[in-house]
Amino acid sequence: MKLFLKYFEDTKLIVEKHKWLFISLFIIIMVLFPLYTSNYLIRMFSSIFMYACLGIAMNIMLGYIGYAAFGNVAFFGLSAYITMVLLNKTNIPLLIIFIIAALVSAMYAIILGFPILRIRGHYFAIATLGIAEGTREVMSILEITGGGKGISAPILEMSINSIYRIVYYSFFGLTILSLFACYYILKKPFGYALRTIRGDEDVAAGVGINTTYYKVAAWGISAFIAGLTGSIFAFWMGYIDPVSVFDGMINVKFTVVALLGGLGSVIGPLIGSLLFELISVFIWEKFLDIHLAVLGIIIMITIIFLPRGIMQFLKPQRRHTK
Amino acid sequence: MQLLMNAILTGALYATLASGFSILYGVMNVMNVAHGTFIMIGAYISYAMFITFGIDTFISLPICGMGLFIIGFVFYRYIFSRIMGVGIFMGMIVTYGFSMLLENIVLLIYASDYRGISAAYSGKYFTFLNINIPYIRLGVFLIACLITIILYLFMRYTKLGKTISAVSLNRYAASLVGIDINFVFNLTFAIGAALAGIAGGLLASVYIIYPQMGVSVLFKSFVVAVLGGLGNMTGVFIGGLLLALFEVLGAHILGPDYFQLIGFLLMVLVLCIKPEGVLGKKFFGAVTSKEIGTE
Repeated sequence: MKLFLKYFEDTKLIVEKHKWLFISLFIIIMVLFPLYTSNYLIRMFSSIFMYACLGIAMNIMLGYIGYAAFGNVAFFGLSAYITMVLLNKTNIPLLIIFIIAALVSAMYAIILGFPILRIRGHYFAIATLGIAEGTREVMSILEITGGGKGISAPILEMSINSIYRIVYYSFFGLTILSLFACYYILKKPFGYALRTIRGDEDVAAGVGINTTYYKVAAWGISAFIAGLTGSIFAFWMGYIDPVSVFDGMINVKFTVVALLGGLGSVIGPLIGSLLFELISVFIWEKFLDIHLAVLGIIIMITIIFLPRGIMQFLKPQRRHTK
Repeated sequence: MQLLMNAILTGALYATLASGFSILYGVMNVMNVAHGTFIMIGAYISYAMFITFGIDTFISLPICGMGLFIIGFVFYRYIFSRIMGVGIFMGMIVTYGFSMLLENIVLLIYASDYRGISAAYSGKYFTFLNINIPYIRLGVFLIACLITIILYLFMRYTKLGKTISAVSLNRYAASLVGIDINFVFNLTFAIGAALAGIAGGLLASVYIIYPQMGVSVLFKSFVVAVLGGLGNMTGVFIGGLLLALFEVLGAHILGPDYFQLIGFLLMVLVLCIKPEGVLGKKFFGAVTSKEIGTE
């Protein structure tokens, strides 16, 4: 057993040392992936990447800054709606629509951020939940967004296969971009500031960090990523309505993904999402009625036994901290 | 005037809904997002009692309370106690997981449709000074007030109540004086759950119930608790009345679509301006970072 552990540790160190090699390998595999697999798998992985992105967005808030933005689904949904509306009413190319929608979400976060980010801790978490609910309400009231009935996208003249592939690559691309963004943030002073805020906000302010700026910026980034994810999702689904896009389940899922993966780590959400989807799919097959319960149990077990997420096991131990 | 009366009647109900949540936060500093689900279960217990045994909803209230008490007690003992103090959000997430489990169980038994209870005296009301007061709502109101009063007296004057209050004020000092904190937490959690159960039972008599109602009820309780100040019984009552008042007024002026939105806006406003609520004395900042574990 000990031998195995040592072997495991050594493997981890090797992987860590040659990170970039493995990452490139991974990227190459994932890029070639759709060419050889069934649509089902492509969809599954699209979903994995989608939740990975959302998990990353959540990680920025919860992991780096320490603010539990449980309501991030608001940005997801808002962006999805904007995408739909723009798709229906204008002729702007798709990519630009995505970016516009995400920017609007980010703006929303920034505007809301100023008052809401003053609230701390628990209150903040539920305030964001309130925002998610509120945004959902507003979406179902306004005429332009189709009210409770939802909107559908115009029919595209593309085959199913192409759509799946586009979605897959979009999500994948987004994941990679976000991961790089996170990695970058970690290394730069911006990331340090965020983590200081997480450690102790008052001390951070005392040291001279403009906490408001960083908090708002972080939430803006988080919202942007969530927004992009929402846009792609809208494109994927072809039809959205308030209930599906602002779904609490999405909220839960990406929180679990972020937690499972380990807060504060870069790759964490991706691994978390992978694990989670695999478990989910397994559960769906065997235990359809009780999948919600099993999900709940998984959450509980994760919290109790893996408070730092799976990355606990996957990051090599630093000798000097022992 | 009718609006005012409606507001008052509903307000007391809201207050009961929120009292469990408030106690939990006040004493243990955790946000129990399963609170809504507890309420939902209470409502379903009441419904089940009514359907299977024909027990009137008011009479089945103690059963709801006890059922939830047991659930809360067991949950705390075996699951929640492990993560107390690990980090402020862990509690929330564990309770979330638990709420999903519970919701699924109810879904399995009762499926996703809406259920309602109509007792013999459901539709009847009496008129007083040109205002209609349905009997059921009056009953709910009276019981809600009763519960708030009982809680208040309990916290203030009984030994157990004082113990709980002591822990809520300063748990370290309380442990120094010899109070077994874990036991108090366990008990408080169970009491909070029981309150939720009773509130659920009350709710079942006037509203339609369905398994997913946990979320909206949770949100309402949260708004009320925040408005009134977390951890404070009288505050909760006032909070309940306030929310009901604003809802009714808002719906009257702006139209019924904006119901939820009003609550949310109100809460955000209060949170930004005065997080302690009207009467709250437990400011979040009082829980220092020493207690909040690193994640």
